[in-house]
Amino acid sequence: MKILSLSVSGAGRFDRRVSVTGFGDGVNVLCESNEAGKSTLFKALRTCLFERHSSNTQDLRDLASEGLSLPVVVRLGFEHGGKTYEIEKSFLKQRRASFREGGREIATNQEADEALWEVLGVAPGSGRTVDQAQFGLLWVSQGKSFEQPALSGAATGALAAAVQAEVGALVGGERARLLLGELRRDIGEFVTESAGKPKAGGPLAQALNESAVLSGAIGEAERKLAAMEAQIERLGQLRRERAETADPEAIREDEARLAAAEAELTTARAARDRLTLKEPMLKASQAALEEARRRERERAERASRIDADRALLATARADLDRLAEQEAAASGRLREARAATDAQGAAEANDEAALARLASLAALVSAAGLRPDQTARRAALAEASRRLGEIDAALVEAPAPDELLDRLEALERAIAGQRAAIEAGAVRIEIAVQPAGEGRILLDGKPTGATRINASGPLVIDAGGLATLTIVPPAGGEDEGRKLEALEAKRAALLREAGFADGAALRLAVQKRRSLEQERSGALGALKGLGVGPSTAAAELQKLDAMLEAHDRRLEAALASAGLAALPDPAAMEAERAAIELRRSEARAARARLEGRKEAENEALRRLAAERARRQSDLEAAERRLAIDLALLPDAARASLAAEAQAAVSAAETAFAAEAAAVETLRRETPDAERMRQLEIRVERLRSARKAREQRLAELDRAIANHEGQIEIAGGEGLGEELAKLRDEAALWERLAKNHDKRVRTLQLLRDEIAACYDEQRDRLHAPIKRHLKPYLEDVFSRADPEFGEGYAVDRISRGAAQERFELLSDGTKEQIAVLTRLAMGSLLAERGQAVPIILDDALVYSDDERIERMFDALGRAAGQQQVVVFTCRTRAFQRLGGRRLTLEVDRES
Amino acid sequence: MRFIHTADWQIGKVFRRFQDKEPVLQQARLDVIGAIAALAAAEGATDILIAGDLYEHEAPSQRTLSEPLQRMRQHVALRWHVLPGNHDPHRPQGLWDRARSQGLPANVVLHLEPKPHRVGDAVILPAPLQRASETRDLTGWMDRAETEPGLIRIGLAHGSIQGFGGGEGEAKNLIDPRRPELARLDYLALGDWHRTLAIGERVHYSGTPEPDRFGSQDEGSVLLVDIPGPGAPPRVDRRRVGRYRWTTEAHRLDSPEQIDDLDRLLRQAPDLANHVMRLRLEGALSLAALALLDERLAQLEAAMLWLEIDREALEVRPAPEDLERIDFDGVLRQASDRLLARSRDAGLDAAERSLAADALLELYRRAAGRNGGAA
Repeated sequence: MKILSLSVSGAGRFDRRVSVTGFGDGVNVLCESNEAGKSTLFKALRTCLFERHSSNTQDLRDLASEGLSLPVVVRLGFEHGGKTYEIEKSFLKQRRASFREGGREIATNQEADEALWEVLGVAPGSGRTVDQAQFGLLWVSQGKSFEQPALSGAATGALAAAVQAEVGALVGGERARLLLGELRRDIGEFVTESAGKPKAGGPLAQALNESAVLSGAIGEAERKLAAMEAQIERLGQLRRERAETADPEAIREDEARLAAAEAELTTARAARDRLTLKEPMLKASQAALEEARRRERERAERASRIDADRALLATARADLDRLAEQEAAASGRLREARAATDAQGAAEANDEAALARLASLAALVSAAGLRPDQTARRAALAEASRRLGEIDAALVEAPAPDELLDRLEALERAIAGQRAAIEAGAVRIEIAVQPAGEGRILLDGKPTGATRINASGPLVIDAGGLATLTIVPPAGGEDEGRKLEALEAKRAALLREAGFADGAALRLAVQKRRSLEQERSGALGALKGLGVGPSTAAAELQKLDAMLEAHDRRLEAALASAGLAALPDPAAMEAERAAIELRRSEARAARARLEGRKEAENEALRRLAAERARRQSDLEAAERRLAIDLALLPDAARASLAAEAQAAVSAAETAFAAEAAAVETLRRETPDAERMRQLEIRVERLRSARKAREQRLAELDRAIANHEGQIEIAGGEGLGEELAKLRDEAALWERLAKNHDKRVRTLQLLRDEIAACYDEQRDRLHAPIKRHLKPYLEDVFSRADPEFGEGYAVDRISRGAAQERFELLSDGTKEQIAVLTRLAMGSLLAERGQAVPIILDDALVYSDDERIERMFDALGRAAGQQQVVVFTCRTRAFQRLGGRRLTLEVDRES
Repeated sequence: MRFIHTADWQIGKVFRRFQDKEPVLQQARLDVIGAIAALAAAEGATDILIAGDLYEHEAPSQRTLSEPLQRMRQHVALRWHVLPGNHDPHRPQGLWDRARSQGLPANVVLHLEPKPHRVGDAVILPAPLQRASETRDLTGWMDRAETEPGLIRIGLAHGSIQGFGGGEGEAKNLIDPRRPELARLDYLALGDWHRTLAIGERVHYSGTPEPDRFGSQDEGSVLLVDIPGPGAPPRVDRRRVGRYRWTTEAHRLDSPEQIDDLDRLLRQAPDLANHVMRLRLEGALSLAALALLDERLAQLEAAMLWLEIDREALEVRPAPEDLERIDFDGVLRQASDRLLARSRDAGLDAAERSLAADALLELYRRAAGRNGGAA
């Protein structure tokens, strides 16, 4: 089909008839501004083709121009199957339809409606509107370009017919899809679609949950049952132990053993008590015996001591007399030694005085030896002071400072430099005189021979009257001469002001001053060598004069004091001093010996005094003892008291022997401590055993009662029965879970097999569309590979390694792919001889400049097989699409 | 001496695998007490010897403990002699102490110790179990048990006869088969073996009065025993008292006709509503036949108290028409072909092949007849 003409009236903003002119093969572009009525034309075209002229739908009423009572009239001219047709329909008002073929009306009204459909090959539907078939598939109304082609039944049929013609008949796809839906739903009752995990609340999850819960409950019941079993076992053990513990025969035997042990222990303890009472009596008897014996010994000792003290007193008194004599002799020797010591001390004092006098004289001699040195020092000091005064006076008279010389030398260097500069700037003239010219050559009027001249000022050379050469140095030479003169004047003024005739005089004066200054340094050095400065030299001279005078006075006084006319000879003085010192040394040794004698005598006296005191003390002690002993043991009663004491000892010995015999008898009758301890341990052990048995019986009774109670309670709970119920219940749920699991795996296997077959079939179905879409995609998206999902909608696009889902693409890309898919479908249909115009109403609104260029390429490719009609308001952007320009023409006469 | 010999009542047994039928089966175990009492009354027997395992569990609930005792109490003219078995041994503070502490019915005699018990012109020599598993023969004491001359000696024990059954009995409590001769017993009433069985002229297992498992006795029964006098051979008569028949059937199915035959065969059984059946099927059926089998089995299941089907050995063998009923061509047919190939793939293990067969059957159930006129 190819559209040739279109006119519309009474629709939208077209109150008058408007015709679209310029239709032809390939791309047809209608560029008009917004609200120019492009979408009205699109709707009118569809209405004309697919609505019965008698239709009164809301869409049709919406299409009519608002406020007008005009019919909606659409006239469409087209070419199809090599023939030209024209259909004109008037809707809502003055309803009519006319269908012409080659300009000849072949049907009107309802017949025209149906004849048109027959020509187009679309089957009439059961309702008011016919199925739009491939037209609806390929016509994109405003705002719908983003949507992928949604196939109506007939569109699917048309497309499927084309596909079928290419790949053959495919059956069962719909049934498979329905069955897959059922299977997914049924599987979904058991497991989650995404992870295949048991679905919460589903029968499989419930069975698994119940199994898990029951498993826990079984574990708990088994634990309780095991505990009860253990308690039953323990109860049996306890009962057996109680029976053994409470065995009457064993108890009787234990009691008999205890009674025998207790009786033996009682007897033993009685014997021990008797012995305990008797043993102190034995000890008392022994103590009495020992006391009697002690008194006898004391009496005998006292008698012996009286005799001894009497002998001691006699000896002591003799010793005291002898000691008194020895003390008197020692005292006499001591007095003699003291007298000799005192005499020796007086001689030593005389020698000390003589030595002191000699020392004083030696000091005077020494002081007199220093005077010549001081005299020489004073003379040197006076000479240096004088010379310094003379030099200072000469320096004042001839001042010639170095600074003046420096200034002079600076001026002389400047003058020399200036002269050199003038010399450098002078014109060098070299005159060679030939023999004929001798004397004829005048220089500034004066004849000259061969010469070399540096002319710093104008110079006239007369060449023998033949020529006059005027030499003028370069400008500036005169200034340099004036500078030189100024410098020389400055030097002369400097010398004049300093009082010197010329530079040599100044240099001589400076030389003299420097010599004086060197001499002054020498004088100052001499003063410094004497330890004084120029300012203190005079004071030092005065000080030396005073010292010499004082020295002389002291010497005179000393000589007078010593009665000497002159200072003695030092050698005689030394000989005298040596003699005195020898004598003093001998005196000291003698005195030391006398001191030793004194000490020895003193020691002898102290020793004698101590011996005498000791003997005196012994004497007094013996006298006191003797008095006491005699009071207790008078010589008259000594014999009677001795007899009494010996009798008391005999009586005590007899009493002690009797007590010892009685105790020995009791000891033999009493068990020893070890035996006693043994009996006590046995009784204690047997009593403890009885107590332990009684306690154990009590414990066993309590434990048995406790276990019986617990077993009774556990048994009452019906644990065994409960556990069996739980196990049966768990087995039931486990079987159910297993069955569900098998059911799920069965359904999943069935689903997977059907899905795999379905996908294979669908891939075959999509192959023709993909083949046609491929070049279009290549026009816009380089190396893009489409993947179709349900129907013919693109599900994914692969670009390189990346796969992108259609719904996640950008709006612009989605729109472009949707349009390209339609172009591919159009190509497929066109290839099968079912070419239908592709109409795009305000599409590609989101395409950027580059992408829209590529889309234009794709539209250009499509236009090679079928008519492409584009309605757009983007005049400039679609300028590059090319193709035919459609125009809207208003029929002024309508 | 005429008495009833019974055992293995297993009161309190849990039947959760039978789901909503559990109370019915539990109730039947209690109701059989009435049936035994009625039989005893009818036959003039006043003593009922229960040779162990009156209870299923050693620690039953209070209600489970009381219910059979209270049922026995109702029959005042009868004496119920109860022996602890391996399921309900007499242990300290165990269920028998619990029962005694709550007050036993006067007509219930507990034989908790190996002591002779005089009953009319007979004496009962019991061998009670005091733990689930004894290593010695508890009936040994009967050899030495002195009884008055002229009395009928009846042994009452629970365990396995040595050398018999290969340990098929529940307990390992072995009993010497010569015990009647060794202990001069006129009759040895045994429990533990859930089938009525005569070991010898004087040694009998009564079986359970109400079956509780597959592979044991089909119907519940007791033994009516009549001993004319000491040394006389006992007359032992088996009497059915149980309500439900526990049967196990195995059939081969290779064609739809055999499904019909099986249906007819099973339905011929009398009292079908009281059947508890385990049905093992083997063979190979087409998908259509399997669908038919499902329908028949569903109906049979409703007709019986319980029908448990084991079809592990039943192969799926799709016929060409089965696959055509799924589709002649297209996606589903391709999928069914793949599943069929997978179910026959020797490279896969049996579980994977079975899963593929199940998936094919599932596809058949969902798709067959829904392809718009195929088949």
